Amino acid sequence: MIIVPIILIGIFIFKDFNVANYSFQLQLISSGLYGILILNTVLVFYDASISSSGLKKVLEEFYQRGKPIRSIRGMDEVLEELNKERKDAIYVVLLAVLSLVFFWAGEILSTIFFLSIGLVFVTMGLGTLLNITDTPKLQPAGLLDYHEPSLFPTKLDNIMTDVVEAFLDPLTLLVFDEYRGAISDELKWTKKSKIPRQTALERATEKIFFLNYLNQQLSEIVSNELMVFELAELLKDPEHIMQYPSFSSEIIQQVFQDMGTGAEGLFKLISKLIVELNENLGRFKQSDIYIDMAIPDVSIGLTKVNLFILLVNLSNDSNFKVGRPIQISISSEGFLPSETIVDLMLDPSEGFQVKSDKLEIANEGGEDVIGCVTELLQIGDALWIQLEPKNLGKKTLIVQILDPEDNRLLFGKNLITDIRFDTVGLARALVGKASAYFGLTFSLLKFILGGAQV
Amino acid sequence: MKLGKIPRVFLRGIVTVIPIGILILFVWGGFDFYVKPPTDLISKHWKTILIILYGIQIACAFLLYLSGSVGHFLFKRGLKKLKNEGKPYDNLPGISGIMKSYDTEKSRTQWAFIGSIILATVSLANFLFLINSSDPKFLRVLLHALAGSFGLLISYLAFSTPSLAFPRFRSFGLLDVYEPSEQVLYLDNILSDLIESQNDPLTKNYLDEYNAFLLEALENKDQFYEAKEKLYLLNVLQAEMPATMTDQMVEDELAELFGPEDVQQIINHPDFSFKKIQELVSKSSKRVPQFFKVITRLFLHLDENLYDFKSHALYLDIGYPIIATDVTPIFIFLFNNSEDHRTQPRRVKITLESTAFNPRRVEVEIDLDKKGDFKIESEKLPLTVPGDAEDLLKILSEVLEIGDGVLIMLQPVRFGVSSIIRCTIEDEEGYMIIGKTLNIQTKQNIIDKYVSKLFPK
Repeated sequence: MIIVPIILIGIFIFKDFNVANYSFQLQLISSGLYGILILNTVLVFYDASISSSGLKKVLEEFYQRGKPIRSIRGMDEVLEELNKERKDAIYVVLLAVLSLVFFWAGEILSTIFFLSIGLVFVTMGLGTLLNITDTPKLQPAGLLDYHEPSLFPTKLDNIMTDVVEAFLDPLTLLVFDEYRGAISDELKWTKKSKIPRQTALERATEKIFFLNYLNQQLSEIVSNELMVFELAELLKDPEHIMQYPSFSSEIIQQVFQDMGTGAEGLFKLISKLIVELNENLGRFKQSDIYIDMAIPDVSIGLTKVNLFILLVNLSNDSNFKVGRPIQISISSEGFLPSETIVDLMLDPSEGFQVKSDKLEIANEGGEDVIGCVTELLQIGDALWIQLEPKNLGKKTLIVQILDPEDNRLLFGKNLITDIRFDTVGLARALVGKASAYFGLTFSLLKFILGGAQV
Repeated sequence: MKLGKIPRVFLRGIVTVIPIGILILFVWGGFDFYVKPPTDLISKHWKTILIILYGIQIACAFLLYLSGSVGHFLFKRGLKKLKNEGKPYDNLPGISGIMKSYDTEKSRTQWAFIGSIILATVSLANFLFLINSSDPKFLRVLLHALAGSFGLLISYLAFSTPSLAFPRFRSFGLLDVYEPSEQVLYLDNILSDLIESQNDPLTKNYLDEYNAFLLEALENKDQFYEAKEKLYLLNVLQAEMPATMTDQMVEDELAELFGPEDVQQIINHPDFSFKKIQELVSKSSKRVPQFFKVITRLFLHLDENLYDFKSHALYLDIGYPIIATDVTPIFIFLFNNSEDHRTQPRRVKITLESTAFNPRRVEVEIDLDKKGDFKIESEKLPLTVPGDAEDLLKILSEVLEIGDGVLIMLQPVRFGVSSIIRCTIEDEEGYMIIGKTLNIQTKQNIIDKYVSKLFPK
C-alpha cells in the first residue's frame, strides 16, 4: 500500500503531470498497478472484517450461555480496535477503487485524472496509518496484539503473577482462574505442610512464571527438562501444567514477549536478584531487608515512566512477625505527580533463610537460586509506580525508604532517566497524515479551480 | 428510538438538509445561480424546484415549532396544576433542568421557523425582483450570501434541537427528558442506591409507596435491602442477557423472596413495572456505563473466578472509561471479605490522585459493611437453584448488599495526554492494602469547546 502508490505517482511526475502523455502500454501498466493496490486493500479489509465479526460471534455465543464476557476489562477496547481497523480498511478500499475509476475517467476529463492521483496520495497516507497486526486468534493469548492494558497494580504481593495478570488480554484473563485451579489440583501440599495451601499455590504460580522467564532468557541453562525437575518439587505432574491447553508455557512466554518495555524494570530487578544470590550471597545474608529499584535509562516520548521498587523483609525479629512497616517517599519534580508517599506493611519473612554459602542456579534436592528467588518473589512486596513526564530531557528521581517509627533512612537512591523525543512515532504520523492531507488538498483545489472552467 | 420521536426526527432532517442543499447549489453556480444555473436539468425547472423546496422547508419548520411549543405548554400546565393541588414540584431538584430543555426546544424551533421564512423571503425576493434587472451584481451576491448564512444557521438549529418526549405527570413520565445534574458519591446498597438516584424527580416521590408495597409482600421482612438488590439485579441481568435470564427464571427467583401471589404484581406494578425499571436501567447504563460494567464483571468473576474471589480479603474493582472528553465517572467497588471484620465494620481510606483531572486529589474515608455471616461454600456456583441453596444470583445480591461503592466525577483539565490516575486503598493505620494505576487518554471535544460556545444552550 506504500510502494504501488509511489510508483503511480512516479509515473505521473515522469509524464509531466499530463494524462495525454500516457502511452497505451503505460495505461495498461498503470491500470494493473491500480488493480494490485485494490487487491491489497481488499485483502486487508477482508482480514479485518473476519476478525471483527469472529470476535462478535464469540461474544454472542458467550452471552447466550449466560456469560457477559464483554464486561471483562479490555474487551470493549479490543472490539473497538478491531472495528476501527475494519472501518479504516473500508475507506482505503473505497479510495483505491475510486482512484482507478477516476484514472479511467481521466481519459475524458483531465481534472478528474488529478483527482485520481490525489486519492492515491490519500490511500497511501491512510495505508501508512492503518494498524496492521497479525490476525487475532479467538483463543487465549490470541488478542495480545490488540490489547493495550490500562489498569496496573501499584502494590505487588505476588510480584510476577500480579504483573503478568495486568498484561493478559481479556480471553486469557478469563481462563487464568481455571489455570490456577489446575495448579491447585496438582499441588503436593498436605495438611502437614508448614505453609497454608493458598501460600503454596501462590509460590507455585510464581515459580512457574519465573521458570518460564528464565527459560526464555537463559534457554541454554534453564531447559524444559530443568523446568520439569524444578516444578516437580511443588507439583505432582508438572508436565501437565506446562502443557496446559489454555495456558501453556508457550502462551506464558508469548505474554512475556508482549509485555515489552512495560515491565522492563521488574525483569531488571529479578536479574539483579539472581546475580546477588549467585555472586554476593554473603552480603545478602547479612542484611535484614533487601531493597532494590529500577527505572528505564531512556524513555521515548512523553508517555508514562514505570518505576519498580522491590522490597523483601528478611528479618526474623519477633517485632516483625505480622509484618514490617516502612515508608516510601518519592520525590519526582520533573514528573506528575511530583511527590509520592506510601506507607507499606511488608510481609513477614516466614522464616526464610539461606543456609548454604554458595548457591548454584539449579541444584537437585538442595538449595538453589531458582528456589530462593521464587520464595523471595512470593515473600517480597513490590511497588509499581507510574509517572507522567512533564517535558523532555534528563530527570532525577529521589527515592527514600524510611523506618516510619523514627523516620530513619533505611535505603535511598537517585535514579536518572532520559526522556527523549519520539522521532519514529512522529515520522510515521507525519508521513501518513501529510500524504493524506496533501492528497485531499491537491484533489479539492484542482477540482474546485478546474471545476469552474468545465 | 421511540416511535413517537420518528416524525420529529424526520422533520428535523428535512429542515437541516434543505438549506444546505440550496447553499451547495449557490456555490456550484458561483453565486450567480439565478442568472446561470449549473446544469440544463435544473435550468428548465429550477424556479419551480426552488419554490417547492422553500415551501417544504417552511411547513416542516412550522410543524417542528408546533411540537416544541406543545411540549413546553404541557409541562408548564402540569406543574401549575400540581401547584394548585398544593404540590410545589417546580422547586424540586432537576425540574428547572427539564424546564430549560423544553425552553431550548421551543426557542430553537421558533428561530428555525422564523429563519426559514426569512431565508425564503430573501432568496425569492432576490430571484423575483433582481433577476435580469440592472441592479449591481454585488447586491445580488450579497443577498445570496445572506440567504446562505441564514440557511446554515437554520440547519444548525434544527440539527441541534433535542426532540423531547411530551411530559407525562406520572412515574417514569419525565425519564426521557431528565438529565441528572448530581450523582451519588457513596453507595451503600449498590444497585438500589445508584438506580434510584437516576430516577426523574417525579418518580422519586413514588418510591416510599413502592418500598412499603415491597416490604408488605416480603416473606422475611429482615431481608428488605437484600431483596431490593436482587430485584434490581434481575432487571439489570435481564436487560443485559435476555436469552439467559428468561421471564420464568425471574419469576422463580422472585418467588423465593415474595409470596407466589405477589410475584406478578411486582413484575407488573403500575408505577415500577419491570418494563419501566429496565428502561431506567438502560438509560442509567448510558449515563454511568462504568458502573454497570463493574456489576456484570462481578457476575462473571463469581461465575468464572470464584476461587480468586474467595481467597481475597478485600475485593476491589474500578470502573473507568479509557478515553475521557468530559466529566468522567470513576466507580470504585469494594467488598469486605475479611474474616477479621465479620462482626465490625472495616474502615478504609480511598485516595484518588490524578495528573490531568480536577480535583487532583480526592480522599474518601468510609466504613465498609461488616461481612456478617456471609460465606460461599460451593466450589462452583450455578446461575439459579430452587429454594434456599447457594446460587450465583443469591450470592451476587448479598455481595451487592454488603459491598460499598464510591462514585467520583472528575473533570479533565489537560487534554491530549495519556493521564495517570492512582487509586489507593489504605487501612485504618494508613498502610496501603491495594493500589491500582489507571491510564486514561484525555481528548478535547472540539464541538463542545468551540461550537457550543457559539450557540450556547
